Amino acid sequence: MENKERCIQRAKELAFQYQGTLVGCAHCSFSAALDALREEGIELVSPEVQNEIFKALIGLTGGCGNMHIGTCGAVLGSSAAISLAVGIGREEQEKNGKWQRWISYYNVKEGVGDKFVKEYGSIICRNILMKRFGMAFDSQFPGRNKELFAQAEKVGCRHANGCIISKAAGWAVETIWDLINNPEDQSWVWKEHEPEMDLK
Amino acid sequence: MGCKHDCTGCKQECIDRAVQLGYENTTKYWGCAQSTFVAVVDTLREYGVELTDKESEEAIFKCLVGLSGGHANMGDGNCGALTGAAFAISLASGVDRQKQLENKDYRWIAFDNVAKTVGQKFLEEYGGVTCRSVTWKRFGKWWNSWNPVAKADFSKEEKERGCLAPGKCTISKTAGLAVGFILDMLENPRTLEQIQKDHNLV
Repeated sequence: MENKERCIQRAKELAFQYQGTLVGCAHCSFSAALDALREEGIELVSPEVQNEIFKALIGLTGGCGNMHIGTCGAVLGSSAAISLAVGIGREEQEKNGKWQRWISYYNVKEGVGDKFVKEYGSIICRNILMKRFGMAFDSQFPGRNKELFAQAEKVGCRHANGCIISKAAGWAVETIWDLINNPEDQSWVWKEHEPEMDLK
Repeated sequence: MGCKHDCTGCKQECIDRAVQLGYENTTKYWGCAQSTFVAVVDTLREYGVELTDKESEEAIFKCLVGLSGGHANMGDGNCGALTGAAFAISLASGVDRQKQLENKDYRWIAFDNVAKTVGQKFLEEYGGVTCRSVTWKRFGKWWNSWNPVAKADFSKEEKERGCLAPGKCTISKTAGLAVGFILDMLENPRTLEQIQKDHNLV
């Protein structure tokens, strides 16, 4: 197995494992992607900084605060990992942010967003649940969170190749791996979307 | 996270500052998620509340750039302003990896801090938390920002309707809301026991 494929598979396994220990799509998909990459020698941020990002992400699990009406947490966590790897910081944004942002948008959309739309028809949590289970749940409503977990168990989500969190973590690793090891000129993206920009 | 300042008497001043910074950031960082997040973090820092260290703030900023515009400018996902505010609120909730490993129920503190603040507010004001919910309610219109013609039309309408002003712009309003909610949370933090009771977790 090539290193890239090994890393993708590892991210899927970690995501599934974390769903049992850390519980939650946003922080589990993000942590799985970063930890799998670290095992292959790719350190996007230090463990301490990763822990701070973990804190910022955990509240967005379950389609935003476990409300299920917003972006799927697995989409969000894996997209945050990709955007982090693209690496457009505050100072760069102040200089050339209007065009640079498109590089992040492009990689997040291609790497995760479009894949979710293709497979589940949406990036919204409850729409994905509808597609996957034929029913969706509001985990803030008494009893529904337990029902959601029982349903996931019932339809066989609980393995590294069936869990949505695993899938998202794998897609994030695939995109980040190529960004780092096979970088390509993506300036055409912003040239297409900000054609009036005159770069100094 | 640390609070070196008693914000009891200056909460509104703090909110107003976030509203102003949120507005200024719209044309500084060109993205709703990161603009909202740093407006909140910078404001609180000015008032002595340090949500995170500079290195982590920079990393979170990088994470957020791609989540603006309803997720990667797709419009379908969370409103970027909501995402940036929710990141700050979740960060202030302080549920890290170790804590979550110790007790899985801790996550509900961050969930409720997000859902019962900006989540609830967006539902009341815009009927949803997505970018499309916000533009539908505010403008009666949807735009595909990956279509250059539609994107230009959105920018034109934003300007014509006077949205790019402090307190009118969604980024600016949401940054102010987040600061107010975080100050409340710091004063009355949700506890594990309270969450377990609220959600019948034990």
